[in-house]
Amino acid sequence: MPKTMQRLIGFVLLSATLGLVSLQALIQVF
Amino acid sequence: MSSAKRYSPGKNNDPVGQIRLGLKGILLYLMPMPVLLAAVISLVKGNFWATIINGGAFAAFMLAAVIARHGFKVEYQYNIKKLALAPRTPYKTVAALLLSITTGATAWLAADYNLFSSILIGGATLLAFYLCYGLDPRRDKTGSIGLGVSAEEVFEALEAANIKIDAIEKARTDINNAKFDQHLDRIISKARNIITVIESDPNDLPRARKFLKVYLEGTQRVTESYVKTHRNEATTVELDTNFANVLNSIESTFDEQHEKLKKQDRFDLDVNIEVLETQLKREGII
Repeated sequence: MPKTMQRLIGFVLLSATLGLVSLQALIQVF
Repeated sequence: MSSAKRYSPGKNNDPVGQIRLGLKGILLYLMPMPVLLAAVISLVKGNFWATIINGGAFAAFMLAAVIARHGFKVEYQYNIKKLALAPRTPYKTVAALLLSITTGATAWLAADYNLFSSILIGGATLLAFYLCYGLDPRRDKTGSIGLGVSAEEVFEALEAANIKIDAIEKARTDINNAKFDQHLDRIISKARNIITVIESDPNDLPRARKFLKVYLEGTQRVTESYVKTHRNEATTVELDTNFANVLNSIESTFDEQHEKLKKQDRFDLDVNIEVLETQLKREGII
């Protein structure tokens, strides 16, 4: 797998996990 | 004093790399922002445990981001050098573990996921970090260090030389004399060139070590001493002339040694410590 592709997948996955958990944590306090 | 920035060639010779490094890892600071908001809202609502959990999670996210960014800086320094030791602390790995544990724990305790899903999210974060930022450099870049000189010796000597060059550079910024400033600038870039020659062929080190030690130390002492006198406004025309003489002689020695290094002369660079010492004392600089 080319390095750029690997980085892009990593970036999207990292944004998804961190974003999902953070937003869920925010929703839970309402 | 003028607030204009001093031109320092060689320090930031890769602006694109510097900008990329500056932006790398910003995501790690931005994405957990809703957790901070959650902590503030919990605090306003008087929800003690939610405040503690969200606040703690946000702090852990920020800590992981700081460690990761430090790891990126260390890695950048390692990448731009021809010779470098692998970082002793694997900052990126530490940050990746802290980030994945924090994400998993936040998912379980604050975002109401079940334990299995939380572990899965933590694992996914670890994998994502690895894919996005890679692992820490583990292997020392020893280049073409051959027999007769060990990698530790080379790193130690180059590190010592770089510390002295940095000290000269720092002292240079305190001199408000354009002529000396340019002169020191030339000496600094020549010294860095010699370091580059040694980095490309570390087997030159035994020949150049004594020269580097003596002349860099001499330049550092003489510059710092001049700055000290200059600061007390005690400089005289005579002292300035002497300082200029010493700088001239140091500069020509740097040129000579650079030529000798390039010519692959088998003999030690003939450095006579006494010559420099005597000159410095005669000129009344130290």
